[in-house]
Amino acid sequence: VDIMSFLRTQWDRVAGVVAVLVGAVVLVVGYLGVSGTSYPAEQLPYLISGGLVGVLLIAGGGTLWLSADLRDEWVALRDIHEELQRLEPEAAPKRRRTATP
Amino acid sequence: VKSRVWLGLGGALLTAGALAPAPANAESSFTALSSATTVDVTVSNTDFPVVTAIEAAGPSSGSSLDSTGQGTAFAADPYPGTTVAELPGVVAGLTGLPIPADPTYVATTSDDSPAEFVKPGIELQAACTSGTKPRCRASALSGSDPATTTAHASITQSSSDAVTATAQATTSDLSIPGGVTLSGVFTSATAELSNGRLRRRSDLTVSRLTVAGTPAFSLSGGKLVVAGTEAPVPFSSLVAALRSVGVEATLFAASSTKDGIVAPVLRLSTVLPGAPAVLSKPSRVVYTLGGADASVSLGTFRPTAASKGGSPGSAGPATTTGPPVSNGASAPSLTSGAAPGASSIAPEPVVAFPSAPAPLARAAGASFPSQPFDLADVYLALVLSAVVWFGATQAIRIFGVRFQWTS
Repeated sequence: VDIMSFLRTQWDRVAGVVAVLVGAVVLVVGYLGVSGTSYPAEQLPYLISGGLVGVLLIAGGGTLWLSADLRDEWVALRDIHEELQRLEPEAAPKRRRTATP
Repeated sequence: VKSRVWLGLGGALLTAGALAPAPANAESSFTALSSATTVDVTVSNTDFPVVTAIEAAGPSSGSSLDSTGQGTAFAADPYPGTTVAELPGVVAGLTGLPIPADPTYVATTSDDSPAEFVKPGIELQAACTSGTKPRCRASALSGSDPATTTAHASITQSSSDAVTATAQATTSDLSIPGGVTLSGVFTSATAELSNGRLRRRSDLTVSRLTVAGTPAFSLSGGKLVVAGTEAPVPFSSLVAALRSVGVEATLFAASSTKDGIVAPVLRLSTVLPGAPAVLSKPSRVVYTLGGADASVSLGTFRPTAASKGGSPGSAGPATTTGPPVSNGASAPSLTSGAAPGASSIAPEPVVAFPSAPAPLARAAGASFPSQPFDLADVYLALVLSAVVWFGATQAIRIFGVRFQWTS
């Protein structure tokens, strides 16, 4: 499999998975920072940099992943549509013949 | 295509750098306390008039410092407790009478000049300096040259994120009825905050403990050894040896609190026979060695423990659940010893940590108001929301897109 072409065609799925994984790592690292101190002023940077960014990464990654699956469905629908259009000229004379009394 | 790949990698690196949790900013508020008392002696007898116990402690010293640069320091010998020591100044302020302050108690704040009392056999000093490296320190020395008992307490903020609270006390010789002598008693407690991390150290050393004229034991680093050797012996051996001469011994291990440490405490007690002419009942005498504690508490300023049931300095000795505590843990309102009649100065509210052994420290610590919530819990809530969000998208993806709806 050509990696570059795979990345080009599946960029949203790859980006989604990567974002989810990075988000999980950021959440874990952030939690280690938050739990390492009981002082709120020291916890806040981890809460913001680790917690909020991790949540956004996971949420965005999950949405991208979902979008990739939806795009697959649209591609399949487009293929079906094109196949129907390709078959349309062949089917038309048959329909006309069948319609002739 | 290659340039796009490199651009993508560069962007990913920049993004990862931006997303990495930022280092904690240690420029934070704090309150640091340290106190040291060489020996605390409590004599209790139900035949005493008014009170059933009399306490004498000293030399003692204590200091406090907070992140605003305000601090206090005091040194005393003997130390009757803050309330009694300040009583002359308070009465003089209220009545206007020229009541002299107790000369054996000197105190100062960051806004005042250093206080000092030097006489043959006693030297008390208390000083606070402000500026880029605020510091408060106090020392109390007693005995002819060289001093036989010393108590030092100091707090130094060396940088914006480094604070060190130290308390040390030494006693050259202490004799207890029953033929027990302790030589070279050294106790220390240090709480050092650096880069948001608190390090605690403590020590209690007794170079030589003599029982009935025979050097028997040494205590170092919490370990009891035979005097003059490195051979460890169980503490029960010391207890048995002292019990043979009518002295009870209890060793309280160092106690780490949330914000600092209380040094190990050795408590010795004996019973003196009553004197028919004065006291018909025997008197119980308790000696407490090792009164040193240090703490650096981060974050909010908390109300003093005085509002939690009286002055911590006077509360300790009256307890029966543990040994008497040193009195210098708190530094409430101070009156300069060199200025009789001066009005009391109310410092910033500070935590009055009990310089008590473990049971008292834990009990008192539990009663202090603390932070109402922990941001770690908020963080876990964020993680939970991320998991729920991810689970929802995956559920929609799998059951709503990959498979046909069945409805």
